[in-house]
Amino acid sequence: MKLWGGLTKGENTGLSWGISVLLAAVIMIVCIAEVPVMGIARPQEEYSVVLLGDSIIGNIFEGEGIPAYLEEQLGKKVLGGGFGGTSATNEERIQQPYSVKDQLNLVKLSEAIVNQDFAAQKAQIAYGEHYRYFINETLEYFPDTIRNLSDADFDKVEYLVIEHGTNDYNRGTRLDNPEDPYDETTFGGALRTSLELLQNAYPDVKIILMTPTWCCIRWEGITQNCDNTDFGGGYLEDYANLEIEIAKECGVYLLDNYHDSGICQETQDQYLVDGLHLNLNGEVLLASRLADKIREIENSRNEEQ
Amino acid sequence: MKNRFLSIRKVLLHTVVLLAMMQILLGAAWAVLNLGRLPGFRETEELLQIADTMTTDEYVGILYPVFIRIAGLLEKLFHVPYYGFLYLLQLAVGCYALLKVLEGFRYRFWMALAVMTIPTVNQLFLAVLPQSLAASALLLCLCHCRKGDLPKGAVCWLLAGLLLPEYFLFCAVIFVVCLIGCGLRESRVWSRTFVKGIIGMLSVCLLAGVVNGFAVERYSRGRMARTPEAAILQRFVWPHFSDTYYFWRNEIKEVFTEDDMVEISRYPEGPMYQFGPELERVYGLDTARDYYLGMARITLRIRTKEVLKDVGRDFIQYAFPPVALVNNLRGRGVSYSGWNYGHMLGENGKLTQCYVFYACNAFLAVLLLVCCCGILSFAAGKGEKIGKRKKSDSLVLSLLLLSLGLTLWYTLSGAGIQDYKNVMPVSMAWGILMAEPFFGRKEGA
Repeated sequence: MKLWGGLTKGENTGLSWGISVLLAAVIMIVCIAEVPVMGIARPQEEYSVVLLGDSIIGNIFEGEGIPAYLEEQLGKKVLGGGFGGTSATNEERIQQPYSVKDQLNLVKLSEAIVNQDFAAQKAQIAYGEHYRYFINETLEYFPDTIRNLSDADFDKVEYLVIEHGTNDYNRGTRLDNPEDPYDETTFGGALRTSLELLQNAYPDVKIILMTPTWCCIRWEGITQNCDNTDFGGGYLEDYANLEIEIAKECGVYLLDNYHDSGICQETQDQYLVDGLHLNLNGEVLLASRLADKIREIENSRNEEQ
Repeated sequence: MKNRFLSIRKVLLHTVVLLAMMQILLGAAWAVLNLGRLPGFRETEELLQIADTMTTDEYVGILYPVFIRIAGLLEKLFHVPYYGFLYLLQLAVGCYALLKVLEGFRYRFWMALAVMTIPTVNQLFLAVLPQSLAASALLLCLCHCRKGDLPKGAVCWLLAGLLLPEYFLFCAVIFVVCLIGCGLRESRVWSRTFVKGIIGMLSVCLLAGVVNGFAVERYSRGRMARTPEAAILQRFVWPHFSDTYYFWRNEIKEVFTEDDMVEISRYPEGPMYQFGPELERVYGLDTARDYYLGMARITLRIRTKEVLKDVGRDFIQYAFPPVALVNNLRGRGVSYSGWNYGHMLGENGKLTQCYVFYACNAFLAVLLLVCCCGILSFAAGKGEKIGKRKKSDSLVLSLLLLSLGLTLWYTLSGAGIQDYKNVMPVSMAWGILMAEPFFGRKEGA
């Protein structure tokens, strides 16, 4: 070809090309080094348990947070990967370029975990952090959390815990799409899509779905209980029941906080700060329940072996 | 010594070729895998709506919705998704435009491919967005006007302006400069070329006026009127609508409460969709424009450091799109890059990741190599040869000025909306500028 012919005129062309190939190879390696999929800059941090979810996992009001208590109880390294205000669903139609939470829903995070590519999330969080005072979509811990997630080696993770539902409920997200069980704009579709992605990429990881806890939304003096308020998609119990179904469908473990945790209207002051988020007792309670579940799974697996 | 410098330069040249080849491979693979995909940009949704109504405002050109409509008819005829036709058109026109600009360059086909596979360029060829066609028309306008073919330049000017309204101004500047250049070169005021140029210019203005007269309706998309003062408001006042509320005029406070301003400050498009239209409705456009200027002056006085820092950062990000993109994806900088990258991922996340990071990092590497080559060439005493390549020099100068103009325009268009999609010609210009020292026109070409 002309290109090669033109460039190969002159003396010492072979040597020149040889050095160029070496130099180009070095530059290519440097250029691609930060891409984890190339195996050069692989994630280094090893966690036994990773928690994904919303503010129930991410926000800390009184105690030290569920991840810290769980780590204490299990003696295993735990990563808290919750982002306050996020949901499971991927509402493509309402995505705005300045919206941080559109990149932090369960579907997008699952894709990021599978591809080991959190670049979109990092860029959006950087944007949200710069305008945090005005846009108010990020919380202080978002940059650290996304960095920890991107540094985590998911090949070494034993348990992946997913806790979503509350924000899908209070946004009135559609529960399911009978015509398309993998419709990411529905709660059920988002869960199925995420579970399928994660199970295919990490077949050895034990996934635990955690149903949301009972809550009430307090806004401008009005209190709306989750068991008698429908924001458009159903009651919170409907979302919890769908999660139970999907856990059976997809063959993942389930921890039913909605029905079994003991957090309800009568006990809300004992476990909740504002009717929605967990106080110290609530964090310890959920961490204990999760630790018990993990031990149960390990015991049953030991018995099987 | 001179030979040693030239040998090192040759090695660097070969290295650049290899790096470009890898980019072309990755970029072509990404393009092939994404030919059948429609990224869900919200601008695309708006264009589809405009294609239905054939009414737009001052922010969006009418020509691209016309193409969408035609593609829709072809879809019904051939049962191929409409966007397939648009992608093919965009790729073909883009390739043609680059080959035209690179006329006389050695290996121009490969150079065109290298430019087209820059990620911030490639993505836009495979999206239902007017940027790629407008950029191609802009480059063609530049190319034709530089050669003195002003009638063709005028056609490209018209097309670019009907695709993206701001390109009307960019092409106008190119056209007028080249028209004056023609007049001076020919040493006769009413030379044939000059007269053709004047007729071309008047025809473009007339046709654009007629088309926009039918298709453009202010406020039809809910946006404020597009004026310099509106841009100044969006650039210098957002997001400080709420924290500078105390200083606003009473007339503004009568229309917007402090809570309203908090809401407007939450979204970078708050001024465009919420503040501007309402203020213009209440006080009329002329008065509103005065208020915008007043608000900008106050904000600059009170928030000088924050505003200037934001302006400076946006300028640098617009000036070096591929470098800014990879920096943003590392969690630094402030832009819409995360959103754009999310749209690029599609079904081939791992390939996209490798491609984007490789190409953007390689862009910086090649830039450094080009600078080294320039130093080596100068040190080797090739200065006299560079001085003879006058035609390449004027292309380099044109592209640099064009890039500067575009960068300044979009930097000053608004705060919090930095988007590399807006400066596709800048990315293309960089691709050409970096290859020019190696493959630029031979003497006499």
